[in-house]
Amino acid sequence: MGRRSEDRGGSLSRGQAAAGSEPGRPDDAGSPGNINQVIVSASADGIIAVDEQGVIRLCNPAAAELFARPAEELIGTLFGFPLVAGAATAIDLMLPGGGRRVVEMRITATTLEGEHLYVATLRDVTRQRREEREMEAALDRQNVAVAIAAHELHNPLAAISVLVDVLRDRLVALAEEQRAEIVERIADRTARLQGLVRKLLTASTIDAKGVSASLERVPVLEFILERLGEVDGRLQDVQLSCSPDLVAMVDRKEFSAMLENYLENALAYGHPPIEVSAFGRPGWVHIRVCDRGAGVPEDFVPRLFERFSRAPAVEQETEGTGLGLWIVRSLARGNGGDAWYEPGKDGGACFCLRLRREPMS
Amino acid sequence: MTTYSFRLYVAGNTERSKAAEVNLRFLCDARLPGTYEVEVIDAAERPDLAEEGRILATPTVIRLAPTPQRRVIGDLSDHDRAAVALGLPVLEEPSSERQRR
Repeated sequence: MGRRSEDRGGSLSRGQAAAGSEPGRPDDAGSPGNINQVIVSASADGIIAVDEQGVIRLCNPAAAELFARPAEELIGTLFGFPLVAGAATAIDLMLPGGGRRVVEMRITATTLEGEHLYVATLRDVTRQRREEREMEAALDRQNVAVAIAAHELHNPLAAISVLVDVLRDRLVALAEEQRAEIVERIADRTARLQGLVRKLLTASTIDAKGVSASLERVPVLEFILERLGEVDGRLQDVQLSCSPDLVAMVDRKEFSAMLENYLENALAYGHPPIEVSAFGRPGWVHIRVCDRGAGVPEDFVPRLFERFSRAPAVEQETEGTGLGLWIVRSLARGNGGDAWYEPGKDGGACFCLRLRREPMS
Repeated sequence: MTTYSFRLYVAGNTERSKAAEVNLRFLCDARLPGTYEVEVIDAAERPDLAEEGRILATPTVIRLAPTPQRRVIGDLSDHDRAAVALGLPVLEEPSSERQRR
């Protein structure tokens, strides 16, 4: 059971009961030169010493914190004879009020003033385990992101490579129209790659820093028109309706990412015409992006906004990361709003967004 | 013949809880065949009983009888030490290596 130590320096603080049992002996807690005392008091680990009857004789502040009980209450209390098989064992500390805390316990035997003591070092592993789980989840997400990036980058890059080879090898033989078409296709693939990289960067920024949400006044109609102008020519079938005086309180850059992802989603999975409507409600700006596609299968709706989630039917047919809707919802919620799905009235899908509205003057 | 009585406090249906009960029953079967009783209390379900027993940590096993009471913390997987700590009779033919898990 650990090494046997002959440390007689009184390395642990004693409670009143223990100190009082040894009249004439200076209280270690009051000895400024006792370096062991300083180390134990400053230790992040909880340390208790129990005698051969299992009674706690000494404890440090970290132990009192782990037990969520004052040191005076712990000292003199029957803890039990601590047994550890191997280097350490996990035990549950019973907290006042019914809570529990998992700690890793290590035991060292020692002798103090001729009395055998068992020093139990207690390390909180509840937080450690939670952090480990979070770390594992983050690694899983990262692995999936890398796999998706590799998969989604591969096809457009391969296409660009082929198109560049054609241009290089047959530049002279190609008619001007053919050259222009190839350049157009390269531009299209490049735009897709840029969109994908943008999504991955947004997702990693949300993971690393959370949502910025530096709210500012954003006139909605003007903003949507700007975004529609920036998106490619496939948006010629978009029908827009918006109150001209509608103003949202939102992070402009993040609003842009939300709208772009909704529009890209409608273009990728829905059919024209695409309807974008924005209207006001007390305290809120509502934006809906609706298409005339097949809509979303009912059993997939609950997972629609999850990260890397893609409906099985579209997975084979359409390129995509499964990040877009997750990004929209993360950003919307970070800006104090929300994002959700509703089935379209005439079939198709409606993706909805709610953002804070500028207070009416 | 002395009857041994133990009360085991565990917290939830965890591996630790199961190991402690299995180890305690193993020790008792080997050293106190037919002369022991074990009561298991889940402190997660009955925090009042844990508080009443002034239980600071689980797994805790208390030897209630014979007196004096003894109290041991841990999952008892070190059978030899657990037997000593609980004051159990020594095996007639010690074979500690086989008992170790």
